[in-house]
Amino acid sequence: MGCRIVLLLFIAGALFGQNILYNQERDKTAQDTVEAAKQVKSSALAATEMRNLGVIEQNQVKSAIEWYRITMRTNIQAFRQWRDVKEAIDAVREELEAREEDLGIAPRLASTVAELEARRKDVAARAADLRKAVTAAKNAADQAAKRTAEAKPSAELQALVDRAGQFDELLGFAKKLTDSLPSGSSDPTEAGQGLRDDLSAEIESARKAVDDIRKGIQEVQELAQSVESIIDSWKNIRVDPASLAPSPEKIALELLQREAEFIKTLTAIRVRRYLEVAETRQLLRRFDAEFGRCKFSDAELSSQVTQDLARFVGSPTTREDLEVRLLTLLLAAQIAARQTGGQTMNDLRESIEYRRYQVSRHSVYNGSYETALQAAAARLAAYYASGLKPTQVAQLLYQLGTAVALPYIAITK
Amino acid sequence: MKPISAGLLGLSALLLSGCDKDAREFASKAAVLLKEYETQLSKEIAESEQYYRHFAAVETDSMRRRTLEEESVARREMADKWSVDYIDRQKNSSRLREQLLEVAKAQFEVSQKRWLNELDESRLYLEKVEKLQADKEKVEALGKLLDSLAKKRSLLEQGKEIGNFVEATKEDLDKRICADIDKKLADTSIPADRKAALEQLKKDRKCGG
Repeated sequence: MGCRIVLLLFIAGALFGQNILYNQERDKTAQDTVEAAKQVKSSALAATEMRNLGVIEQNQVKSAIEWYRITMRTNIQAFRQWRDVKEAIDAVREELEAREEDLGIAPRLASTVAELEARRKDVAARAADLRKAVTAAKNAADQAAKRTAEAKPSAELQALVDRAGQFDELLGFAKKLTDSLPSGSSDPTEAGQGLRDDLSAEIESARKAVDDIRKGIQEVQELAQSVESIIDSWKNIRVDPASLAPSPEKIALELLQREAEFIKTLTAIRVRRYLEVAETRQLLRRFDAEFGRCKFSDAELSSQVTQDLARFVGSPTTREDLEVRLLTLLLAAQIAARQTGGQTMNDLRESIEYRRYQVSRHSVYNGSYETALQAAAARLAAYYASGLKPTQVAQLLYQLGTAVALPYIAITK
Repeated sequence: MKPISAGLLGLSALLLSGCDKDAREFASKAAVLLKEYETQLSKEIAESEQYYRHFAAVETDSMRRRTLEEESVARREMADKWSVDYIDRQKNSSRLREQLLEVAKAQFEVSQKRWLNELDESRLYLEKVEKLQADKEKVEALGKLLDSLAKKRSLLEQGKEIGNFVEATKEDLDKRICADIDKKLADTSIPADRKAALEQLKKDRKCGG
């Protein structure tokens, strides 16, 4: 027993500072931690945020449409004199021109695309560097493994187990010998039979002894594997859990992807705004044309629109003039309402999209935390599951005793 | 197992149990990481809630302005229409106050609704958005487990664990030895004097059966 304890003390010395003995309670806690880490997810939160943004967007769009309608009605009511109508439309035109810079979609798009391309190249370059670093590290690890392989106790034990296989060949050879002994027919004497029996018993004892030795070596090999797994799991927990998060390059790539999606949507919104402005410009041109066709005198410009229109009532010959005036009024109302409504709608869409982009960026960062936490929990679980179990230690102690004792008994018996 | 052997095994176990300092530190760092994660989630929720409150405030203000604007335009439209109706004699101007009362009643209904509503009308908008919440219970559950793994076990606990381990090892070893003795006792080739020694050993080991 003393020898066994010395061996245990030796192993203890080699593995000092690590959790060598299996602890069922800690193992259970670590397994629970793995399950708990799997449950910690922010995807539901992100999904709720996205749903809420959908609700907000719908609400704001409805609200904007409502404003569109009211503005149109207000403008129609405000068109008291023809001068008011002209002034209202000129105000829209001025506003449109003042925002000309905003409407220059093409240069903005170009700069956005250039920025995106530059960022993509930057990330690609960093990813390539990372690949090189990983390859170099792997090669270095392989070299180190080759150098140390012979020094590893497990390799030695593996060699022992391999050698143990030779016993089988020896036993096979011994069996052949017994079989080749003079059979009952060729040597029917008692001496001949006795020789066969003795040899047979000797070989059987040797076989048992060899089997036990081999079993013992295998046990030691298994134990060594356990120790190796203890060391590996110990190495795995000697890092900062934060380092288990996806690489900065991977996060950067994901963020870039989100950004690309955001820019795509933003571009679509701005193109739409550009088209709406173009439509408004077309309406303005049509308004100018119709207003010109009305050929208002100064007096008419200062006249009340309703009174001016009343002049045409009951006179079919002036129907064309009446129609042009009405068309001018309708266009004026449409332009004013359209401009205000269009701007509001696109502004709010941009704002919502920006918020969506922020939420999706958050989810990338949250995801990296979740990955790191799950990996950390898995490493803790592997660490606590790797300890030596009572049955392993008992088996080792038993094998250390019997592996030597049995052959001894076999020989001295 | 002799007491001295058991003692030595216990001592070995004590050394073997070593300390899981690295694992505790790892668990502790993971718990810090979890806290950071929790803080980030809380920040994100606070940011979103701020956004929702802003949305609700903007919508409430927009709704109020829109109502006023709509009332204004409705008044102008009504005046426009009534003037035509009076001219076309579709409405009787002598019943003006009666007609005004109808308008006033309609306006009163609208005002009444507003008076009955809560003072903070933005709540109506906030009700439309789902409440944001990180799965706090799950985060807390993970935190507790990590804290428990980060916690250093007391000497008493460690002693108890080692005791249990030694006991389990001893029990297992005894079972194996007893099985071995039984096997040898069943072996007819073993001489009687050796068998007597084995029987004694069996008794000493308190092997069952």
